[in-house]
Amino acid sequence: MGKKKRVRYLSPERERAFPSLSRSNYEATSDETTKYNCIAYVAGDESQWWQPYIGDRPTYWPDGAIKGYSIEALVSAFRALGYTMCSGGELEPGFEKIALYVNANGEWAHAARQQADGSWLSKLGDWEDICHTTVEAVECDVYGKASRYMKRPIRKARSEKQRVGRHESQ
Amino acid sequence: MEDYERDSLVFNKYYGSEDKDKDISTSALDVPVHTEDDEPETMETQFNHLANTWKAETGMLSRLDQKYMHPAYQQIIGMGKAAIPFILRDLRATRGHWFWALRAIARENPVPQESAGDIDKVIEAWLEWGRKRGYDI
Repeated sequence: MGKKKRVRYLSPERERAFPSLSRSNYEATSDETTKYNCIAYVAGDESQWWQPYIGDRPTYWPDGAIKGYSIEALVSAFRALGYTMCSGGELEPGFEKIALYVNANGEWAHAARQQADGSWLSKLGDWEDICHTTVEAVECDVYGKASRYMKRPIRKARSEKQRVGRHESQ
Repeated sequence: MEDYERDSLVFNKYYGSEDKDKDISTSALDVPVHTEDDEPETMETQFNHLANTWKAETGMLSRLDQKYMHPAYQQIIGMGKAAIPFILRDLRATRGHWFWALRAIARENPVPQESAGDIDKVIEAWLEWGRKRGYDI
């Protein structure tokens, strides 16, 4: 008889940061790490932190993308990876979708990536990666709401590590 | 209203807070200000209090600029060189986001250009920098 898979969750303290998250609509899929953030994770890169360079540590931001924290800057970063804007997060065969979250100040605060079954993957800052059933599950005061969606053909989605470079030069 | 109370309210208003009604008089920002002449135990207690608050309140943030703006992180920078051994120990243990504070306090960058793209080498460069200066890490 095979071992039953043990489902992992965030600590109750961390769960409280997400009013729409419950143990019926998500599970943790990794340990916590400070090595990469949600933007890197959505881009398929778990080796470095994605953010415009701010002077203290290695970070990566795609060449040619707008530097800054406006939602347009984040959209331009994913355009550099081949994504185009789309109207919503419904499952669309042949396409991989991402959701970009905007806080109350109109700045990007989080991103999530859709899986083939329609569920979503998120990396929660320094905390764990999670898989959540709806894009709204991680909406909160800090991340704001999913307000932009982008997509690209699934055939382009693989091997992002071959496409991205390393940290921004100092 | 004290300055630190105003700072905390501004931070929570700007970045959002899961607990807007929290009594900030009980937060880590109430820690008395110490100087580098204080006993190391007192400084370590203060550092741990501020660091734990900073991690709890910014751990879910996806942007480093937001993490660095937190009042507890700024207060750790304000502790000056007395905070360096505690920061280095925490960096070694947690591999956390301490480079901004270290550069602000030390006013040095010990990371060789050829190592700047590798986070593990950046961490090791700072730990080696601390060892050379005799910090107990």
